[in-house]
Amino acid sequence: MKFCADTWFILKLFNGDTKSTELLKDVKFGKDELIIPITTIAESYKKFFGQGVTEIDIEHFLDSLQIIEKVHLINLDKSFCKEAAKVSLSFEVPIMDSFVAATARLSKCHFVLSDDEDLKKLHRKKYIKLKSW
Amino acid sequence: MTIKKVELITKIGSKGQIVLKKEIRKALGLKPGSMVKEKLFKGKIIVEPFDPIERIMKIASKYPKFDFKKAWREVQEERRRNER
Repeated sequence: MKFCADTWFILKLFNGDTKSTELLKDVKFGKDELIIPITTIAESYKKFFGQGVTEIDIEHFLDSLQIIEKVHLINLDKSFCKEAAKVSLSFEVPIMDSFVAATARLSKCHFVLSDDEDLKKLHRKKYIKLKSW
Repeated sequence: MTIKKVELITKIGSKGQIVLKKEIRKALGLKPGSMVKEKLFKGKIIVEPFDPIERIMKIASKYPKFDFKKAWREVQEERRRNER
């Protein structure tokens, strides 16, 4: 399975959530793949800084994620931006949610890991499939 | 797994690479694709198994007061607020 990580998943992982850790272990052992949009990284940085996580710990946390072979950080090029803009306008969802959904779609992910209400709307409209716990 | 003291001599390759001997790999459960961490410490090279998930969990455990619900709520609010 190929998953796209919304900020929800990264925060859950940092919070020590067991299911998130188990999913990451499956990725580490090559059973699954994890895509992380760069916007997820930006939002995660903000929340980590906001709750007093040190810069060095954030760097080590994110580096440890990225070093796993089947974890891929997706930088946004024009094609992602265009798709995100279309999604935001067509489905009336915030642009940040649209970046996650567009990344999932263009990267051919099976699921987006999130319980965001606007991403749930995109799930109902069958643009993406959502998975949360 | 019994970890015993193993001391072996090895040569550095043309690109700076070393090969961990089979006895050492077996003792530490290292397989192709396993990660190791290299450290330079007081004139010695230390090479030890590295588990990224273990490191993630160790970092996370330093912040038991991290408020996931608050953080996630703020993310969603900011996403919607930025649209107005």
